Amino acid sequence: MNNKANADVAMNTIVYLVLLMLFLFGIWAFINNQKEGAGIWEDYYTKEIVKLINSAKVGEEVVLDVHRATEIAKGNGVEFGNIFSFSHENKEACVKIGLGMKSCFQYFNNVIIVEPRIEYGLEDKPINKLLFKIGEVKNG
Amino acid sequence: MGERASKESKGNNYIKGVSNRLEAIKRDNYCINQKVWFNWQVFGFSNYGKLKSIKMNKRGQAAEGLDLFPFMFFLLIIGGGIFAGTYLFFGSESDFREIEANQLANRVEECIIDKGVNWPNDDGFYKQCGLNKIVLNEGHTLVVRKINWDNTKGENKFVLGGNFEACDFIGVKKNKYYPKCAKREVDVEGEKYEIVAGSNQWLKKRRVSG
Repeated sequence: MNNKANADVAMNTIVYLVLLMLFLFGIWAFINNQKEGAGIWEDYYTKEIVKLINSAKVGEEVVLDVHRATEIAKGNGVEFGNIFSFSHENKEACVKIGLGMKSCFQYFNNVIIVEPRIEYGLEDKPINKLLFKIGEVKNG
Repeated sequence: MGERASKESKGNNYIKGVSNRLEAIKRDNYCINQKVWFNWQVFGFSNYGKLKSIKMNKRGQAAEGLDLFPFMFFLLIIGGGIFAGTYLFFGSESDFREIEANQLANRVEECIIDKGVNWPNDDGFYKQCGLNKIVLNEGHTLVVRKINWDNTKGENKFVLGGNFEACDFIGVKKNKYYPKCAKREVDVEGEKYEIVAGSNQWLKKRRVSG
């Protein structure tokens, strides 16, 4: 009888603690994602990149000042190689400068992004830049 | 003699019964105290009366689950407050729909001026104008239609999506569920065409793979 009652109490407590943990984790993830306004800057950079891709023509090279994004990413411990990514299958440009998920936006221009890379600023021009070329889709 | 032994035996049984009852009461109180201790330590809003009734009455066990509601309610209030505060401070997602609709309309306008409107089928249109069919099918609308000499709407040369009337509604301009539109008129080989492009694309959140 006593053991059963204790088991019930322990079970109740565990359920509450699990719920509390899930809640705290959710709040932590949400706040962490907003650290230094990462969410807003992700939104801004994603749409700026897509705007450039939509208006670009095959063969052009795009250079974009992404210094602020790299600063925030560094503050949040995101590796520079993971900040900008492009998906040829989904025609998406994605930016991740905060912890958690990345922000993606689709471009309707039927092109591919070639050789995306970040060029680090030098002492006389301390601005980090994102560079990529606009390539032609081979099949269709 | 026999009468005396019988009285003693009755007395012993009585004492035994009382002691058993006392043991049972002690045991119950111990369980109740344990529950109160646990709940009080962790959440602090349990109630002794309710717990006592749980031990006393099995039907009352259902009431134990009621503790979950105030707990969830507090979490909801706290979480909602944090979310609302952050949302108000940082603001919502920027609205890119109008810019995208204008970009799409410009693109189609350039394409029609350069290459005309004689595409064999819909796929031909996408290929000729360098547009991605899959992307445009998600959250975009587009129509290229001829305008008659009397300014009435003529034949549709290309249609993607529907509900183009919503583009002219003033009341839905701030509604995020309706696309934002851009319109262009272009002259090709003496014919007039109208282009209406709309976008209702929003930012997507994706998990980072690898």
